[in-house]
Amino acid sequence: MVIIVVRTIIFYIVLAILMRLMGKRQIGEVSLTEFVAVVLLSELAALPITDRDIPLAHGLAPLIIISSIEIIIAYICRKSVKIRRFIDGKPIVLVQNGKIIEKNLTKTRVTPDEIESEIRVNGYRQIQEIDTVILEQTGKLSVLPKKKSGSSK
Amino acid sequence: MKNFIIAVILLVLMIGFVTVNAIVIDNITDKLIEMADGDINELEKYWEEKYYYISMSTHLDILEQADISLVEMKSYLESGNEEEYLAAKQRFLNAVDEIKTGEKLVFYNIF
Repeated sequence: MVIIVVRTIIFYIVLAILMRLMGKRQIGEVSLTEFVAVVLLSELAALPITDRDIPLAHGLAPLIIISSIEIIIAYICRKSVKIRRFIDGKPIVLVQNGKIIEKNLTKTRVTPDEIESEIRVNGYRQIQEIDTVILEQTGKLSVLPKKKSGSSK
Repeated sequence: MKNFIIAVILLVLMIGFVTVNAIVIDNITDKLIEMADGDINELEKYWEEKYYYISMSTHLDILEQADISLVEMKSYLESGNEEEYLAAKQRFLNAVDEIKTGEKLVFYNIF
């Protein structure tokens, strides 16, 4: 039991330091690589804390390696547009001039209901009030209203 | 930039640590295999010396398997039971081989 407590403290401190190094962005705002890193880190840290059969080094090494790779990729992405486009993809226009682009909906697996929901969340009633809906790299939908429609926000 | 440098240093350190660890484990296991044919007390002493280092990167069940086999080897040798001694020795060598191959960068280890 004492071992588990010590291992938990060690993993918590290491993970907190690694997450601090990775940055302050929250889930929902993260890029694809950050999301993969966060999912892997939480799983990898949980196992060796409770399983004494797994050596501490086996638990810590993947955490450090994944965090380091993530920080390096984030830095490279910031420096190179090409690599950023390759890893994070491009924003995709789902609605233009109030019309849904079916081809992009199929490609992104976003449903018209999800678009309508996001439009309502942004304070508009109908899709006709909207100029553009963009699916950002983070997975968020950006809703841009038509200028002449007079935004309700 | 500071975080990037820290990340690169950490990654290089980890790769360095893993590589050095693999080489050291390889040397230790080679010596253990070599010593298995010699004096059992020397083998036991060497195993105890290196136990904590090996345990840093080896699963507990493999370590226990080697540890138990070594104790069995000693007791069977003292009681003069040759067949059981050889069987225990083989189990010890298998466990040591598992420790050795566990650190090797080979296809079947990855997949």
